[in-house]
Amino acid sequence: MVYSSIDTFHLTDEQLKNSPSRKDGIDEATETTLRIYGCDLIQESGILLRLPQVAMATGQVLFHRFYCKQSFVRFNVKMVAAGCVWLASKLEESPRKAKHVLIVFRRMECRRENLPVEHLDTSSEKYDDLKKDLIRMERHVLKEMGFVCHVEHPHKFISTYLAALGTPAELIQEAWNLANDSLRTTLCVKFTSEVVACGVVYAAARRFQVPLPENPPWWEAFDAEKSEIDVVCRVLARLYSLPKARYVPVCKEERRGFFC
Amino acid sequence: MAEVDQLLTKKVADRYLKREVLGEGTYGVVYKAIDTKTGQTVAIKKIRLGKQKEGVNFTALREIKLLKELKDSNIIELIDAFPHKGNLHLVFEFMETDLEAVIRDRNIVLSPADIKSYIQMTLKGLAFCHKKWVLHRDMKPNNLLIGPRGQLKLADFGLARIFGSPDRRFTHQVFARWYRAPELLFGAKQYGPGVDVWAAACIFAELLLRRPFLQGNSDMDQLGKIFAAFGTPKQSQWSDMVYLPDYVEYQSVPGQPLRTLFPMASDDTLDLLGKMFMYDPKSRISAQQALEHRYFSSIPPATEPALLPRPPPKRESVNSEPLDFNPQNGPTVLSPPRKQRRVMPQREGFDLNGQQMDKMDDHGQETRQPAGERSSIAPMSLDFSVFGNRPPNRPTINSADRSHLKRKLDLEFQLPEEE
Repeated sequence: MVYSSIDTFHLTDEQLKNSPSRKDGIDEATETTLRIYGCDLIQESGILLRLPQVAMATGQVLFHRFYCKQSFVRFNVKMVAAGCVWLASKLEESPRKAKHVLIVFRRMECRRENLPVEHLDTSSEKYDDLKKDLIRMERHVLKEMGFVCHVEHPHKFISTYLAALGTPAELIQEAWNLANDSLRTTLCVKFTSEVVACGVVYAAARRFQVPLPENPPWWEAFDAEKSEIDVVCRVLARLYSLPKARYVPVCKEERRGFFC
Repeated sequence: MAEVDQLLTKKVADRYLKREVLGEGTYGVVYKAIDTKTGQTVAIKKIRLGKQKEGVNFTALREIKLLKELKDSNIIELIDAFPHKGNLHLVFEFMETDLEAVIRDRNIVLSPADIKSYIQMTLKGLAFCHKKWVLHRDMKPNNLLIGPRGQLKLADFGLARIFGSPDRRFTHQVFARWYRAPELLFGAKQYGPGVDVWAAACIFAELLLRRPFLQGNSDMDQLGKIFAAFGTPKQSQWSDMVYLPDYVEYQSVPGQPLRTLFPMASDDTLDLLGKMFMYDPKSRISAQQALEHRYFSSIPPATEPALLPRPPPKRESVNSEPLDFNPQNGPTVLSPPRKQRRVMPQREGFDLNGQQMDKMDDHGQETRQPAGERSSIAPMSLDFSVFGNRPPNRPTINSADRSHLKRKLDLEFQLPEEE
């Protein structure tokens, strides 16, 4: 895996198929479920922490990148999600306290896994351990990223592209929603944000049956290829066909009951 | 030789040979080291993480994030970053000195061509940042580092931010006070690259005068100093001024012509300086436009960086990192909450920074000699050493402002800046 310059964390299908989790015996379906589950956690925690959407988006990209380098067996999805949200909140200039991140994640864990909802006692030993884990996790994420932590999102391109194409306002909203949902998938480690943006615009225009210039095709102006757009659309369609992701305990270190 | 060193010293992360400590910064130690992979001398900023309650330092993260992106010959290079023994290590290229040391060294004469070269490199670095939508927000001579071949580079991106999103609100408590633009002093929360250009103009003026140009000792006083120099802005000069959050009406004073303020400067210099010191940030010249100004194409041509006068590398000033903690500075005085208060600008404090001159101490152990004759060209910079006084203490963002800023940042842990 070579990334020569900034924000070029992009993998081939082959590399994605041979992910570290696969080597640890996790099948593709489980990995997909866990990726979606982790992204759900990031999105929901971000809402509870009142983070701007860009922080959740960055957190999800960091999350996908992390699991391209590490396995779900070695790193628990909940702790990685928490670490990514925490780091992203700082990267996107809306820092949140470790305490708040942990309280929110504990609460989500209880609700999602039907455990009795109890408030996280911040004077407990468990809390101290969790906090230490979170701090260690943040450092780990940074290390796996090679400290490259600037993330470019497709959203910015969507608004420029649609402004250039002069489309109705509801199409922008639809494309925006699709772009947010696309973060659940590995599209962000497969394609550049520009290509994802094109695919999302294409899918949104199809759904609203808004004709876009095809002669010459509009995506050529934005340096995307039809084959790539098709992949984006396919991945999105598949995402919407899946049931709500549920937690699958696969992490080797199932301990202490919290976050594992 | 690297082999011998390896036997003598322990390597950090199997790569860096630790040398002497260069100084202690706000969030860790900076030490000199040799990169065994390249043989290059580097400066390593060690950021304590272990006991830090909130994980990786927010300002360190900003610096890492932005410097990984900004690769330019006039911006400090972040060579490597790695966690080691519970600390975060940032590896920078090693820089010999900084612009503050150049300005303060009484043995150095800066010719007009030298000044042009220094300010050109400053503006080039700044223009690059702005092109990449990054605001530096802590421009001051001390953060402009000078490399072994005279290359000037922007450093310390701990306060830098990405800008360009509409309606994004930022804190106005940035920059060391003397370099703060008037809109920031009036509490503007939405601002742009103009704040960096104003600071660059202050640095330009400082190169010409060889002392900080506008040395306010509180935020109110800072505005007073600005207005005493350029006159109170009129409605026609800066129409949005009255809408700024901390706007207070100052008593109207006339400005002084730039020619009086900078008697030795050329017409082109004054023209560019005037455009950089424009009150209305919307009409202030951009860093890129400034570089295209005729000042840079007229004679004398800018001195080659390698030929620029530099102080001999000293123990104190070689710190490649801005370790400018300075406890002697007064507290930040915020503008009064009520508007419409009249404030008299202190005009007399402006002429030769008289009153401040006696209450300063430390820092300059430089020998005070009249400027030596380096060349036959008349020096453009004035030398105030004849008055037998040391330069006053610089307020830095690390002192009172820093604590204020920190409080603000802590606050923002709960409330994001946008709110």
